[in-house]
Amino acid sequence: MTTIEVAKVGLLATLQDAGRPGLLGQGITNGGAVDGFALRCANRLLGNPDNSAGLEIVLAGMDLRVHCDTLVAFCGATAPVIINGDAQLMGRPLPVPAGAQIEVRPSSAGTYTYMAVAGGINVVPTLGSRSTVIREGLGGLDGQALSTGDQLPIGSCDGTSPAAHSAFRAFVPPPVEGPREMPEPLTLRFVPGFQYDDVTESCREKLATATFTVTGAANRMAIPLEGDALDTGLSQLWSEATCLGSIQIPPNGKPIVLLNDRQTMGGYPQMGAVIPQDCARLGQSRPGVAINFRSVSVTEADQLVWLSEHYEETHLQALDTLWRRS
Amino acid sequence: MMRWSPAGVTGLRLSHDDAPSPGVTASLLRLRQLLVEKHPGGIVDSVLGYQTLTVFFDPAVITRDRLADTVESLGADRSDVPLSGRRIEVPVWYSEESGIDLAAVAEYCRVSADDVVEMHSSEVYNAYATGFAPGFCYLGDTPEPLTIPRLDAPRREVPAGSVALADRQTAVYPSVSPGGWRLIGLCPLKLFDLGQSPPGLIAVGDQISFRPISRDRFLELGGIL
Repeated sequence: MTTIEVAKVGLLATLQDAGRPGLLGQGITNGGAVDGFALRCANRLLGNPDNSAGLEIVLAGMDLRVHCDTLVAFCGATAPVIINGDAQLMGRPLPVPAGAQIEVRPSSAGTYTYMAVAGGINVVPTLGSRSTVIREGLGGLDGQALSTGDQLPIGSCDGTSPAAHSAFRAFVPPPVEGPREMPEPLTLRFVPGFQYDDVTESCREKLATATFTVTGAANRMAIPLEGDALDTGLSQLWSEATCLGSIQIPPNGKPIVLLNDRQTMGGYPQMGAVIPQDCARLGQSRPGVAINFRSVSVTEADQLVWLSEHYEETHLQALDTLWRRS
Repeated sequence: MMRWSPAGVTGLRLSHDDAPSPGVTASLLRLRQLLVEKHPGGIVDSVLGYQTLTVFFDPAVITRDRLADTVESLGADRSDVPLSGRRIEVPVWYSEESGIDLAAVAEYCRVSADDVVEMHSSEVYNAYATGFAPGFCYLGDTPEPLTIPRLDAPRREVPAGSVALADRQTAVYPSVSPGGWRLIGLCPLKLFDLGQSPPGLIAVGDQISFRPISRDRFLELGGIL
């Protein structure tokens, strides 16, 4: 049986891939791994295509049973991984024999730990993606979070027997993005836009200078922040598009940064959008982390995104050499 | 007059100066069509709001500046053009059983429940925007006497198919969700169906009217209580 069984779930775990782009106009959110780079790293470690579905485990704490010989890899939030009683390293391919028990213990830093499986997790895609959006009941297994007893169909196990990849044990892979380097306070760089020019001067100034903290209400949809209230001076707005990283100011004045499972439209004033790389860092931040905002021009934002993507691609190509060498 | 500003690193927000109207929606729809034609593959997604069109582009295919140049070359767009969307008739079982706020709406608006039904079902509505949830469409404008604020606190659960009012807007809730609009009836149609392409029944630019039906007819049409 080519499946992985969910033996025990912790707080929350869902299936995610690169998301469901192109459907915002129909009210369907993008979804996808909050820390997309971490999931891509885990997939590349196994020779999977970047868009393969893996597990997104929140604050970790999850047990799995593997029903065939395969390979798995963990990236993202640092968590102890134990296979058949032996502690393993994150950020490298791990051979797993049929019948093995995988324990993902609670993470020590970050929020989202990703587990990729050789060949990907092959549930039937919904609208072109396996990403779970619990609110809409899309993707994953019946659109729901994973629960104990779920059987996840995994890709072909051909050629991924532990023996075939014993070379990995001796080979030290290149550095992989594990815990992101996260200075505190975390500075979120954003491109001003939407109602930025329409709000009060004091609102713009406060956003630029105040320090906020991540609240416990953070989830895949949005990260509500605590801190000084901002008075936008705006009343009701006509609903319009949101985007990844939108900084919404609801009536209570506490900024909310929208993430992957955001609603596609909103009626609250928006100050602009945090660049994607900083959205991933914010998503990985735990409640209590201090947050600053810094506005950047579109030119600077383009450069930051380009550099970041170049850096990520260099990492991913280094992981590909793993496969060429084996 | 159309203005543009960034919506993050891969989005462009185009806003219309005029107040929302079917004409503004029509001009935004036409602008979207022109942009998609001029830059095939460059526009990867777009969202229409009441006064805005937000397009998301693939920076590997087109730059922000070139896209903005195209928008500017298209110039100020007229908002007096007619809408060319589909006409869709939506059956509704209006009653106090199917719409728990019907009596309260009538009282607030100082008319009878029958008047609420009569006014709501005699208007042709413009689909201004799609969002909030898949298949949810903001329809307007409701007749002036039916103007009513949202509930102070949203309900945790609004039944799927609920036909609702808020301000000068009306909508059908496609699925069970939280909601703060006033409920006046139930629609038996599926507003969002993954088996259909596209899955949403109503698209921006469509013109919608509501037709009163009985409880029996609601059940015949597949309505679920």
